[in-house]
Amino acid sequence: MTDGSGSPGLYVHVPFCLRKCRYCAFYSVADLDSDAAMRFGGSLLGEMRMRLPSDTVFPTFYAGGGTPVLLEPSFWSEVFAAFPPTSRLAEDAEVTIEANPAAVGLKDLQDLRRSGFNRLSIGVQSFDDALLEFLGRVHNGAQAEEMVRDARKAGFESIGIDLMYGIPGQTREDWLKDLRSAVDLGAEHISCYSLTVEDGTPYGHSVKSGDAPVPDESLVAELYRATDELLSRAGYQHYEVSNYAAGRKWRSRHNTAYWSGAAYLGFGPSAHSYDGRSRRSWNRLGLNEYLEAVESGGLPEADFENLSEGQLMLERIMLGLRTSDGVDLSKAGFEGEADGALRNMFANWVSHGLCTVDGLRISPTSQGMLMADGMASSLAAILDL
Amino acid sequence: MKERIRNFCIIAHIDHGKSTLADRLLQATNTVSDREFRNQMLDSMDIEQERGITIKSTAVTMKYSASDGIDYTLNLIDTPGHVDFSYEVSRALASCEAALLVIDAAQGVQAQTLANLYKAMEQNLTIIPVVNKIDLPSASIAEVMEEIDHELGLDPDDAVLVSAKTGQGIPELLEAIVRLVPPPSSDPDKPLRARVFDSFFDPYRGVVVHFRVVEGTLRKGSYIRLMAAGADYRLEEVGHMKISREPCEALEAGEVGYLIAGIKSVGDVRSGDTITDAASPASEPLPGYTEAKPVVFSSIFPVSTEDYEDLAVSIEKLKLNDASLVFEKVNSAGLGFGFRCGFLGLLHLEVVQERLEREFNQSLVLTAPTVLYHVYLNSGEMLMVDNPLHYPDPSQIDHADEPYIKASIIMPDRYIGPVTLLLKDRRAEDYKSMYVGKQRVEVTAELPLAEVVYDFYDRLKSVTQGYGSFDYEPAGYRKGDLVRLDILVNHERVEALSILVNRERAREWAVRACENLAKEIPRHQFKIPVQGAIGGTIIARETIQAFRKDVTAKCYGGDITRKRKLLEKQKEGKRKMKMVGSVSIPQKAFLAVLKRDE
Ligand SMILES: Nc1nc2c(ncn2[C@@H]2O[C@H](COP(=O)(O)OP(=O)(O)O)[C@@H](O)[C@H]2O)c(=O)[nH]1
Ligand code: SF4
Ligand SMILES: [Mg+2]
Repeated sequence: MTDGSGSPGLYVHVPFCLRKCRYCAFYSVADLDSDAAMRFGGSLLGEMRMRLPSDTVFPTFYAGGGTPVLLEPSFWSEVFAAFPPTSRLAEDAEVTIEANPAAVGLKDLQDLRRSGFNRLSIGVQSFDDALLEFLGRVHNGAQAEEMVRDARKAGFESIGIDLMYGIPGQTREDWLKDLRSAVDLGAEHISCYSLTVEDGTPYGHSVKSGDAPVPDESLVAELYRATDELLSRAGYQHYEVSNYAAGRKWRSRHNTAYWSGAAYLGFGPSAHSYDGRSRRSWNRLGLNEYLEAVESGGLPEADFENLSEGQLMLERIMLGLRTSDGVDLSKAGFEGEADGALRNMFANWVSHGLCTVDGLRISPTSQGMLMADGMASSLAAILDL
Repeated sequence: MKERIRNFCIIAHIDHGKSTLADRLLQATNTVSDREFRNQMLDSMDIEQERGITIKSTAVTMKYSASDGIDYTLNLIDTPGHVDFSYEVSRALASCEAALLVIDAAQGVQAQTLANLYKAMEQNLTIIPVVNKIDLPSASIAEVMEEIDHELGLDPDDAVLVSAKTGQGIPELLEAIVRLVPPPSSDPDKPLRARVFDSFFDPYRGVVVHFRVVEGTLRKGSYIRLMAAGADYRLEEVGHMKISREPCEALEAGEVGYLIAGIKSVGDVRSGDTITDAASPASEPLPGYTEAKPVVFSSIFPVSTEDYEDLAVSIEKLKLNDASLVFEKVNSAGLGFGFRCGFLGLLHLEVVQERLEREFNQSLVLTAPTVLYHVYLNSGEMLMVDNPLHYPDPSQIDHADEPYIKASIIMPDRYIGPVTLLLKDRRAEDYKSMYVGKQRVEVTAELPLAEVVYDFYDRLKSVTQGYGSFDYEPAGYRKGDLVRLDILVNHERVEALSILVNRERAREWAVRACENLAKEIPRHQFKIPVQGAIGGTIIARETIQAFRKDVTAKCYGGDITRKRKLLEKQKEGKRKMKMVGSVSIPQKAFLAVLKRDE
């Protein structure tokens, strides 16, 4: 079994946004004043001091949220300074921050670059103002383009753009236009998410009450294929269901760690951590609960689970099948041979163009990645995980 | 002594109030206290209570102090209400001197009123007409009296008017039972002969046998012999069935009771068998015993292969209590280990399935029910085939014969059109019809048993709006035109779905089977063809479209636990399905195929 227990990637969750987007179910709150920022910053540093291991070189750092660029760029220098004296980020560490076009200007970007970030992940979603309006985003298309250019000026070499498809009202042409814009802006990384209906969000409510339509499943599947076609032709690799990179070196190393079972440490409310072997834990969800725990000197951990062999294997399969690298069952902990039922299933998947199989390694095609959950649960049923 | 015994049963068209009346009699005679009482007291199985049908016979002994100042013993024998169990019914009726024929005052005489009346008359029983539900505003007593006179040919002066609901007329009915039911005319000094009419399994005591002593005396501690089974047992306990068992020293000719004798399985005691004294046995058994033979066959498999051991234990336990169930172990390439079972009829099959699922918590897949065919090979050899998988290669077959039955259907004459159509559709021959009452007709016809096995009874009830009653007897074998129809899912044959079917029926069956499967099999990551085939020829086809997408968009660090849990649930769902090749088929898809029309 692969041992992902090498040095963990680091994640920091910043639970603030300018305003909640209509579809978003991530944990974040929309009222950041300087007091709140101070209090949160203090607790975050406190948690990191308690939990960061010494004598460790961390391969990746990822500031997500929420909207982490709402915090002062100088705050991040404090974060990196809070590492134990014998620990640090690797020389070639991937250091990412998520950014929102409305929240930062050139000056901030320069400061962020200087404080240590070398990768920027920009939540563009669309360059089309009407669609942005539907999504409840706070920025417009022009701001998004401007931000990408500013990021270049500020010295970011690795820029990722997040886009969204399946938005009610979005045509195939609209979508291809957004994709081309991202390509034209020279993004090294493009994430394409299909809009999902989440309970408890304003969009979710509108769907329930019949005021907004659900993304059309067959259109979504068609756009998925069109995306793969367009971006492949533009030289991108489709390396995860929703992620494309202009080359192996531009893949998100931090996210790849999640998908391959490597260790990670998450800080801030609702952040998850995994020791790379069997223990997964997660922090308290609410900002106040989080602050109270840390301010009273305790750990903000809400709960944890110890993963059984079967659960670990299921996770490897479920995550591996989302990526073009796929999963090698023998490395995921499966000790048998590909017997009748398994071979049968492989043959069937291969004949339907869902994957290639080499021994016990299953590598999904683009179409296969789109079926990752179904394939994983079928495998799990056969292997009885 | 025996002058004070009255043995009777209650017969009725369904819903005319048989069970409710039994409840009232139990209460009026203080056999149950109000505290112990619950509705439909004698239907003890869940399935009986739910479906409102009686499946097993039971007997209960009541004490009644009549107006003549004498205490009488009333033995009420409750009988099953379905043609699958008509043999048990006849054994139960043979143990009585009289029948209360219950007629709904609002509905009047109905088909099963007549059918049941005929059965009772065959056994020379005294019939007491009981007009029930007289509390209903829609009761039309005068008309019902008229029907009793003209259509049933019974004396309306003997009729008792009651409401089983309110209790009105119950005292008069009890008096009528004492007055009109003849006491058993039996001789306690002859060698012992007692007729078994039912038995059930008590996990603490073994088999409890219900019987009627016809002649002689049955004494605790003596040795008895079951004449047909040829086995001797020592009588541990005899007694009367009240709501609980009441042991006594001996039971005499004319009495109805139970015995416990260390018998291990109800299979060892068949209904209709004769109990005699092992020390001085009777020379002849009582007439009327035949062995109940299975007529419908189907294989039962556990949904998950690893539950086979569990199923084996359950089916053995069920057998302890169901003598007519026969089974043997089978192994199917696609479905693993299971049992090939024989049943008395389709209701019996359903009852067994339901009991296994509910009382024993099993998840089952059943194969299409099949009758027993005689297949003649070119070599002249004859094979008995009750399983489509054992059907020989058609090139080796000279011809195949299929079992026929003689059906008797009684109904109001206004339904003769639809019933004739139904019979025709089921390949019936030799129709005959005759009036059996003013507006009541009996149609007889001969038709293949296979045509009755599926939903004939349900269809009959629906075309006659519930007024048609149905009974049948075997009528030998006739030449058939038989094919084996296979169902292919994603080009693989699903063994459990193969059936033997008349060639004319094959296409219709295949089309419906494919449609139902396509509805019940969930979408997969690929397109799934569902086909019906005879040999290499496809005669029906449906396609299950593939999923458009089957993955959640985002999966970052925090999501993993939640996402795995979702997948574990999905996996559980898939695990509960049968894998055929790469396709997961849910249990309800197998069941859907067996349903005829909606
Ligand atoms: N109003 C009225 N309803 C009755 C009477 N007897 C039975 N019923 C109802 O008729 C239905 C069928 O009765 P049940 O005893 O189950 O009939 P069975 O099928 O012959 O056993 C039930 O809903 C009873 O409550 C009666 O005397 N009066
Ligand atoms: S900015 Fe991002 S985290 Fe904040 S509400 Fe919008 S989608 Fe959610
Ligand atoms: Mg009843």
